[in-house]
Amino acid sequence: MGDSEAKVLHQPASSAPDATVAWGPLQNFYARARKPIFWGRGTQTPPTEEELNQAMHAFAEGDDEVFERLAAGLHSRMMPFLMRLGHGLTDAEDLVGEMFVRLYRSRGAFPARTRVMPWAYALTHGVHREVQKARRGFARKPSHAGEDNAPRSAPRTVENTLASLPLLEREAFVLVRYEGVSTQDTASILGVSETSVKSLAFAAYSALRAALDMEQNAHETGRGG
Amino acid sequence: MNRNMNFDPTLLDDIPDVFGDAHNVRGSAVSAHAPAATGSAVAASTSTPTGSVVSANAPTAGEFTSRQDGTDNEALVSPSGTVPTAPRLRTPLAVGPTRKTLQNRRIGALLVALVWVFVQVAALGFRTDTHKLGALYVTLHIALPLLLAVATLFAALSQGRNGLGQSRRSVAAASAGSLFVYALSTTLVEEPYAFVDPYGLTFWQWAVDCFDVTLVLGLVPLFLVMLVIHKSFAAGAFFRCAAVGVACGVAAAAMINMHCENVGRSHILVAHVTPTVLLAIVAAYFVRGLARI
Repeated sequence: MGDSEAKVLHQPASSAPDATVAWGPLQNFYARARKPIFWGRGTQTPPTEEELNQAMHAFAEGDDEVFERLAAGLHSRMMPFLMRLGHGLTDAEDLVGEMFVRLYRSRGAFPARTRVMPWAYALTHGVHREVQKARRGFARKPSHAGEDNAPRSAPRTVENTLASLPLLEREAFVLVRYEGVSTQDTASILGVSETSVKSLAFAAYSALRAALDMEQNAHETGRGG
Repeated sequence: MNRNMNFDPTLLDDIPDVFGDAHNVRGSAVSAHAPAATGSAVAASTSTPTGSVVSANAPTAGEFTSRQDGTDNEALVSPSGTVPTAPRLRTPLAVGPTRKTLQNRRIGALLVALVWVFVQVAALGFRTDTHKLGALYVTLHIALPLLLAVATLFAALSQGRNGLGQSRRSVAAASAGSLFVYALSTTLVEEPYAFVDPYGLTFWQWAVDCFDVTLVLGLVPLFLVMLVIHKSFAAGAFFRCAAVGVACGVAAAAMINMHCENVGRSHILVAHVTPTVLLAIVAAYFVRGLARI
């Protein structure tokens, strides 16, 4: 752990500059979010999905006060999702921020008697797709690509193989495998049929399994030789 | 073998999570040949100054650092060791309308659209040949398009699963089906009588007249819908907006059929059905940008 990271970890939350202004909950959220957000959002336990559903419905009905807690809960769930889709940390922060702006400005469109997580995943997926479209031709290099001297490992193999998969396969696999979203919900998030989701996830699984087996064989051969 | 028949999501647990166990939502163990890439994650979580509980889904900075972008966390920290604050916005970000406000606006838009089309048709004048048309013709040219418009609008605006709308395939099928059924009904039904043009207009003069009126009849409701579905579709905006365009177009076609006395099949196809296609294209390509969240 670097010195600067250690400083942040041990920095009291109250010592960060307070840029809170009376512009509403979104601004307050962002002002406070610049404090160490991943672990230092204070003493709050991350809200459960049911609490998030209640918060989103309250927000859609006009209760602005719940937005900060809603955003904190969704932030901790959407960041890993975006990073698993291949975005870097700061990139994912930007995209989650964009997702919150959209959520904030379209709260009335959130239908009654629905769950917030598929809705949030759909918004995040929309932002992710727009970025992918804008960056077409500027594919992000997998973090360990080209590091021939670096020791091989399963996480690197998985990450590089995931990055090389077709976009829809990667999204379906990440949602079903890593985010634990049901195939039905994944289908509605991605806008494809449930059968397609199963096919896509299985295709991604096959590619990953093959890459891992190859890596394992190479490892064993190297050890044996 | 159909691999989808026996698809079990737990099969995918075989693949290790590059982010480590903290994000493994099903709680399965990372594969045995996955090295401990999350060692720093443990250190980071134990270093939490507040001792707060981090959920299984909540990432820690260490996890992100250990994965790849080691410099990303550094970038958030200024040389003085404090975290920079976000720049202030020049203008406040407007919060969206509440659900109740949006519902009221949608009801208002629907009423205004209905008033608009009926006032237009009343001003243009209702057709005077209704006694010569027959029940089948009236049903297929007025009642059926209205029914199709309602069904297509329902397909476009219904919540579907998770409030994300019906599947794209269903919405596309509803739109294309409405257009196809309406076009088929206009071509298959017999012309009730031999139409004689009382004004001496050519086929294309008649067609352009009706085309323009149908387009205006459909465009105003489409514009009103556009205002009230602004930032409303979280997914499938293209197909849902196209369906809204088809609904407005087919409803406009039903309205023009209440005015236009030209019963020629080719006239109806060119001047009453074609604007529907045009409205669907306009909605799909221009309205979707506004409707998408």
